[in-house]
Amino acid sequence: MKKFKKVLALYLIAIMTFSLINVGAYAQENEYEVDVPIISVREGATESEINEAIQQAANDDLSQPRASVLVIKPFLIRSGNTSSCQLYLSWSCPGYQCSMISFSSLRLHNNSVLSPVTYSNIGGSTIQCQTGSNGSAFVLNVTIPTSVSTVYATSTNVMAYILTEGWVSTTSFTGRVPFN
Amino acid sequence: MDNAQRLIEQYKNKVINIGIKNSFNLFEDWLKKDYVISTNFEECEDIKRAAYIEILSSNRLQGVKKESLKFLCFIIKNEGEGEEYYKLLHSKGHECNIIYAVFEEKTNYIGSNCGKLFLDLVIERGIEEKDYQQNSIKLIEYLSRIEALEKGWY
Repeated sequence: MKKFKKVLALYLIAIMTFSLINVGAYAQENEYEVDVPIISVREGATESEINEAIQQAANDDLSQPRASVLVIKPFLIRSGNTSSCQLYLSWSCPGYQCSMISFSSLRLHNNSVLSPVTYSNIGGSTIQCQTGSNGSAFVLNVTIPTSVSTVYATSTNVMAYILTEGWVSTTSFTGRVPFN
Repeated sequence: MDNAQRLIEQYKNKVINIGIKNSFNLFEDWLKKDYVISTNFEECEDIKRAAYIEILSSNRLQGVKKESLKFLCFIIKNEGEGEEYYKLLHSKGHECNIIYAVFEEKTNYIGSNCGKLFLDLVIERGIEEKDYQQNSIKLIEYLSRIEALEKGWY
């Protein structure tokens, strides 16, 4: 019995040590998880319908706790009931003017361990934005099957270019991207 | 020294386009290039949606009647000098069959799905002389685009 307890204790110590090593590596890569809403907009949508979609994305933003004056979040627009989607980044930095957003990597994927699927994986890019204290910028087109209702985004080293400050680091976004 | 002052010191002397070229003239000038073709904005659903989302989510429409918006749009052909824009996006893993630029005169909007093309257009459009003289925030924005182009931030 004593031997069994010793083995169990060693096993638990090994698991805890392994977990700590993983946490360290995770933090070094500067990866975070956030939800990415997928908003369906029908083909030929009117301006007001598009505006409603933007408001929906904005409300999702506001529902999240804010730790910084600068918030950057992704959202997906699905074109009607098709697999054609567009990824946007929305930003908000009251009192400042943002003109660019950059990241080292951005990957859209599912969250399955058994059958992982990557929908898009782009390397270091800078997105030129319409300068302002808030807005949304088109990033890329991506094909996501209509059967998929949830997508996750993993990004690293997300930064915003604030006219008066230069490049400012912000929380990288990584997490669920819901489809409507 | 803040970033605005740094931009003025490093890039103001690199501004060559003093005076704003209007959207229609800029569009017409680019159509003269053999790798650029005009397209009907209203018929391109994805392009139209992206332009509206970018305009509506900023404060560009304040004081502008939405019905009065007039869009112009061109597409870059994947050949000749145009090929470079495609190579840039594909090298970063973008799924991209068409590279385009959209112009709207009332809101002064220029949009593109290619950062390099956006920078080329915005820099060619220029900066108003009064903004240049007064070191306004518009000049700072303009200088940040010059810096981005020079450093390959696209």
